[in-house]
Parts: sequence; C-alpha cells; structure tokens
Amino acid sequence: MNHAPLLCPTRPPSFPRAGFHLASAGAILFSLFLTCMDVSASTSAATTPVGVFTVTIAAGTGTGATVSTVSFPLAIAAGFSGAMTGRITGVTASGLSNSAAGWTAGELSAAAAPCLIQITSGPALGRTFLLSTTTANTATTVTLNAEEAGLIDLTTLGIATGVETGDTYRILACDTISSVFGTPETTGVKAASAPDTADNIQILSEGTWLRYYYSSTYASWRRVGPDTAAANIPLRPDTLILYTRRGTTDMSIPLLGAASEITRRAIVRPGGITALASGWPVSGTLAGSALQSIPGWNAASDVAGADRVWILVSGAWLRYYYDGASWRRVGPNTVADTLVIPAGSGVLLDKITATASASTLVQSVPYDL
Amino acid sequence: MNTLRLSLIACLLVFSGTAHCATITFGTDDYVVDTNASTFSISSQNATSLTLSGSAQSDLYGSLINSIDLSAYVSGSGLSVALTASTTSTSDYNFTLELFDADGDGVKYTGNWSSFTDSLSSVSLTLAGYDLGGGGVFDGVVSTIAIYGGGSTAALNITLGSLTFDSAAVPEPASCAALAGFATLGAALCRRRRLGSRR
Repeated sequence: MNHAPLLCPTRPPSFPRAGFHLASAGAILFSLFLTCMDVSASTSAATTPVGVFTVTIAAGTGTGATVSTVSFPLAIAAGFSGAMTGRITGVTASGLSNSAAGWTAGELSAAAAPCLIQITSGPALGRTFLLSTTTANTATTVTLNAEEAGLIDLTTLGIATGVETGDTYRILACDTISSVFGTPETTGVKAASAPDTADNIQILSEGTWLRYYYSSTYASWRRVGPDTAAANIPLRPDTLILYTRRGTTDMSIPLLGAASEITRRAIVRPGGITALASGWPVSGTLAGSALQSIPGWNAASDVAGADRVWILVSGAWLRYYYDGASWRRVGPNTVADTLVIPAGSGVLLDKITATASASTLVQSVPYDL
Repeated sequence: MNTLRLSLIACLLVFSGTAHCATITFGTDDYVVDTNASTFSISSQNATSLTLSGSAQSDLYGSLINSIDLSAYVSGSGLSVALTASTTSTSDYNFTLELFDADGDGVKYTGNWSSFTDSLSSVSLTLAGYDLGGGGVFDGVVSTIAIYGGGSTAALNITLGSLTFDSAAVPEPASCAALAGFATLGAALCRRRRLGSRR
C-alpha cells in the first residue's frame, strides 16, 4: 500500500526553503521545531513541517469588546486504531469506506473527539470533511457531518476507489472549543454568568451564526440561547471563527500540528456568507488568495454587481470586490491586491446571488517544502 | 471700564473668526449615503440626522454634498473630531470613522458605541492613522465619510447627528499673535486703571 504521508507531530521536519514565509512576529507566530533539520541550501522537500502556531487574541478595552478573526491552520493526525491513512474503496453521497481500515466502531465519531477525513490524492486532493458524530463509524465506513453532506455529494468528486488504485485519505483530529480555548485557568478566557459580559465565540453553522461563551455558572462552555453544553463543538480547519474578547489582556493559544503540504480545496456555500479560514500558517495577499477564481464568483466593475469579501483590518470590517482585474475596496474603490490576509485569520465571503450548488476554492501550497 | 469691556468683546469677535472649528451633519443637507457601498440600512434621514439599523459589523459610506477643506487643520499637530450620535442598542463594540479625499486617501479615527446613550451626545474620537490604502497622501479636502463596524453580529441601531472638526488646541501663528496682542492690551488697560486709582 502506498499511503499518503502521515501528518504526525513527532515526525522530524525538514527545513522550509526561502519560499516559506513565516508570519511576522506579533499577533501570530508559526515556529518550527528545528531539531533534526537539514539546513543546507540545496535541501529539497521531504517531509511535512511540524511546529507550534500561536494565535494571539487581542484584549478587550475594558469598556469595549475587541473582535478577532481566528482560524487554525495546523493539522494533527488522529491516533486511533485502524488505518489512519489508506485507500478509499467505496464512495456514497455522504460516506467513504476502506475495506481494510479495521477501525473500531464509533471511535471516529465520538462527540468529545471529533475527526476529519482528508483526501490526499486524485481530483478531490485537499478536500477535508468533518465526520459525523451522530452516525457511528463502522470498521470500514465513515459518514460525513450532515452540514457538509448537505453541501457536497461525494460521488460527484471523481474519487477513485479500489484496494490498489483508490485515492488516498488520512484521518485527522478536529479541534473543539474546549480543546483550543480551554478554561479561564488554562487560557485566560473570560468567564461570566451571562454571555454579554463574557468572551464570546461565534461560529457560522448552516448559514447561521451560533454564539458560545464560558459560563461561570456551569464552569463549562455553553451555547447562547438554548444554553446547551458546547465544549465539544468542532472547529473545522476550513472555517473562520469570530472571537469577541472582553478580558483586558491578550490571549495566546499555542497549537501544535503540521502545516499542510497539499493543495487545499474548501467548500464555498452557494449563497450568503461563508466563513473561510485563511488555511495556511503563513500570511498571504488578497490577490494571491485565488478567491477570484472560485467558480461562479461574481466579478463586476461596480460593487453593486459583485460578490464581496469581508476582512477585519485594524479593528474594522472592510469589504472588497473583484472588478475582473484587481481587488478593490468597497467605497473608495482603491486597489487592494496587496492587502495582507494574516495567517491564523480568514475572511467572510459574501455571495450576492446564489448558485445552484456549493463551489470549491482551490489554493496551491503557498510555500516550498 | 467701558474701554475694557469693548476690548473683551473685540477679543471674542476676533477669536470666533479665527477658531478652527467646522461641523457637518449626516442629514440630507450635507450627506448622501451610497447604498451600494453600505451595509447599514437607512431607517430615516432628515435635514440634520441619519438613523441606521444593522449590526456591529455594518458599515456606512457616503459623500458630502459640499466637500470640506480641512487642510489647514491636518497640517498642524492634529485634528480633533467629535461625533454626535445616539444608540438604542447595547453594543460595546469599536468602530472606525474614516475621512477620505477624492483620491481615497484619508485619516482614520476610532470610537466605541458604548460611549453613546439613547439621546444625541458628542464624543471625541481617537486618531488612529492616515494610511487608508489610497496609495497617496491625504490632502485634507474631505469628500466622503465612512463608518466601519469592528464588532460581530450583535444588532446595532444608531442615529448620527454631526461631526465637529476642531483644532482649537493648536492655534495658528496669526491667532497666537492676536492673543499676545490682546494680552498686552489687557495688561496695559489694567495698569492704566491701577495708576488712575492711585491718582
């Protein structure tokens, strides 16, 4: 079996070449473990860079809240029994199977430890799906989360199947609210008995922003409104979240994992807002984001007819549209091709007219390995 | 005594003529909203104010019917900007107010909606920078004014009254000369009164 490389935090990393631009010090820092590295100028790609990515969430002002856009660009290999990498031997609209997987039933669908499956070869290379926690996996089959299954039909992606010739996959661990944001004691998250005086997390789910906070009453994460437990809410790697900080100090959250070494394919909702993570542990530009190449993306010489991208810049939501040649800021119409989208953040995509089905953003790896 | 009163009145008249203070409103007399470039919904706009509904993420972009030349202000050490507004929402989120010239260059100020109450009140904003991405230098002639939310999806309803630009804290050399002159005149008058009373 010729499996795709496993993203394993313990794997010795190779040193990135000059094209791998580390995020500047400050809000976000991606630092590589430099042990076992080959620093010769002629080094070529061999293994996945592994390290710590630190997300810093800006403090509230005391009288006011500060909103930050946050995403998590590193992946962590799941450590369950059975084949964490392998070949796909069967595809249904919402499920994938590997006849030789040998998974323990239910281990990849536990609510407290959600998992992702990432396609690592073929035409669906780089697609990453959250697995269902309501439909248990079997020894050979996993089922997609209902939201993603509602947007994508796996049988339309051209995934090859077969014990010897099937496209490859890997199983990744998915972060959750509690695994990333912890408790007031571990991360400094501001807890309160009511959400309007606590730090808030907002996650876009099926087109609706859901809000969460750390309840001092329950000593755990809760959803605002239904007041249900929220510690295990998954944080998809392709999804941008909004963090409203009311605590008066910055929060720094170091995350261990590996930078992706394959093309990224992310789902763009057919209409309305998609909260899209920047996806890589390095900063990029608006022109380099390939957002303008999303199938069905509306470009126009006037913002009235164009889809828009929302980016939080220096504490303000600014909007941009693509005029067919350049990105421009809504309002003053100044060219914004070089606007930086920081690592560990993301954008909101605003499609003004709905397409028949979800689209796919395709981004090449923005660094040399 | 009459001479002293006349001097003080003259002094006030001179300062009212040289003070660096200008005001525009968000009413129909001054401001036109670009609805294609704004995500706030206009609830109403009368001659002197503009009422908007949206969220703490929403933005407003519009042009002045008559551009306002603030070049004399921004060439000094700073332009003080105060926003008169009210909000019926409980929103503790930051916002940014940007003044653009015709080239898209401008100056940026920040504030927080929690500073405002449910009746119109004036709050000074904080200067946050000059780089708005226009690629050039702000020439001080403001043709468009925008407000950008920095918050999340919390509902926000606001009424915008006016913007006051003031650089009174940094008087021009001519004003300084006038001040010195009137101070000298006042001192002379006082001395004359004292001498007169001794006689």
